Amino acid sequence: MQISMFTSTTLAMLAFIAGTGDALATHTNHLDAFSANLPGCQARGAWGAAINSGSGTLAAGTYLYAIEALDAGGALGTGPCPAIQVVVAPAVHNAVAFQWPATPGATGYRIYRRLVGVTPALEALVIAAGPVTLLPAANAGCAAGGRCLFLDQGAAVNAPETATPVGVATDGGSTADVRILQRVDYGGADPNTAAEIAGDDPFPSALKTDTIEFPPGLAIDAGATRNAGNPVRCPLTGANSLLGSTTVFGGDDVNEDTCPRATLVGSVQAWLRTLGGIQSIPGEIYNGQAKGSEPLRLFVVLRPQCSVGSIFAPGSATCTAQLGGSNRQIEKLFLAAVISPVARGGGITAPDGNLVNAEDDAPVPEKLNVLAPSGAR
Amino acid sequence: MQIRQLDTRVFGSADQGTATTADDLPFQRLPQGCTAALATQVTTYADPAASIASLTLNLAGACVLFSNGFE
Repeated sequence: MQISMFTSTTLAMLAFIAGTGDALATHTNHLDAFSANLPGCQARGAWGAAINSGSGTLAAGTYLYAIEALDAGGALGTGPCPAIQVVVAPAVHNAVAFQWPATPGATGYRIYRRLVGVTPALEALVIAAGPVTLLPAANAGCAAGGRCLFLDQGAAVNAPETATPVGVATDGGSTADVRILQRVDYGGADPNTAAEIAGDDPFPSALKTDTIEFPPGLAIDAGATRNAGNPVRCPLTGANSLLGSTTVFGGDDVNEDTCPRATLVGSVQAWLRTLGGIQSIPGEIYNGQAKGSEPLRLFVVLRPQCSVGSIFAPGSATCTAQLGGSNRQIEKLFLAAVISPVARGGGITAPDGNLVNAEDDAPVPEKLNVLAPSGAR
Repeated sequence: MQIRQLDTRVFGSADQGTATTADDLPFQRLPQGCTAALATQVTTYADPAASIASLTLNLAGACVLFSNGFE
């Protein structure tokens, strides 16, 4: 069937039917990390998740991974970005999938792995006999830009070839990459449930508002993102924008999730619980077009499984089973962090960031949309 | 849909689309001082009471003057 237009039918009723009540729905907010690293690492924005690939042989364990971007002259940037941790569960996973935005100028990538508690250093994965450890950008599907993909199904390592990610930033006033790790427990007897397990958290119960009070003195320059020397921000709609068209959606909209690469200023790795289970999903942050007099608006796009561009593609066996049809897909989640100066008392003003629905500045959406061909149910 | 965790990384510099990072422009600078405190407030559709969490980033490199007797 040719899909000419998607209409949105939400999971609202399904979620309501599956409701468990709000009796134990007192949530607990956890801030698990707030850290800073030296800037300029490459490749930036990598997402990694343990999966079952069918033919994978990666042993269970807690792994750290780092990705280095290279051109003919060697490594780009100041070094690999801080390692990302992936837990491979026994009898559940056998591989780790990665996705990251192509690094400008990179012709290849080297992926490093360390098994926590076993190997002392990040060691390069062997891509081919030799040992060859350089993954050509073309083999990762990103020679012309876009997003790179790699699957570690238990590759051997070339132990002498190691990498050290960029160090911690400790100087006030310096340029630095900043990490903020937030986790929400949604209730139940245990107020500290890990993100990747359901535990005793009631479901559905969804995040509504999220305000980040940044430290006084943190300085962000919205004019730093440039294209050919001219400041550039990602528009909300239209060509090369966050939402693209306002009348067609998902795979039908060629302008959706097409913020200019020059406006990319961060990444997000999220754990999301839906009716289908708990999933790790990738996302990116762009310097977005501000509204009115607000100084800064960051656009956040999260790409759930079965949305366009996900490694779990719409129409795949997994998504067809989950959505009840090969012509259905999940709509991406488009959020905005509105950054505004707020008086904190004592003459101190500092930026607050409020997370909202990018389309209308309403609270964070309670549900994901399922997109189906117009007229289909 | 339940967002259970957000692991957010904001880049310190904006790359200019070139292979080198030498032309990157600073996008984000840390506060001056020895520490930087960050707080988050979260509500859910089921629970309108804000739950607050905070952490402090130690910026030891900024404390040289203090350790030299200027505190």
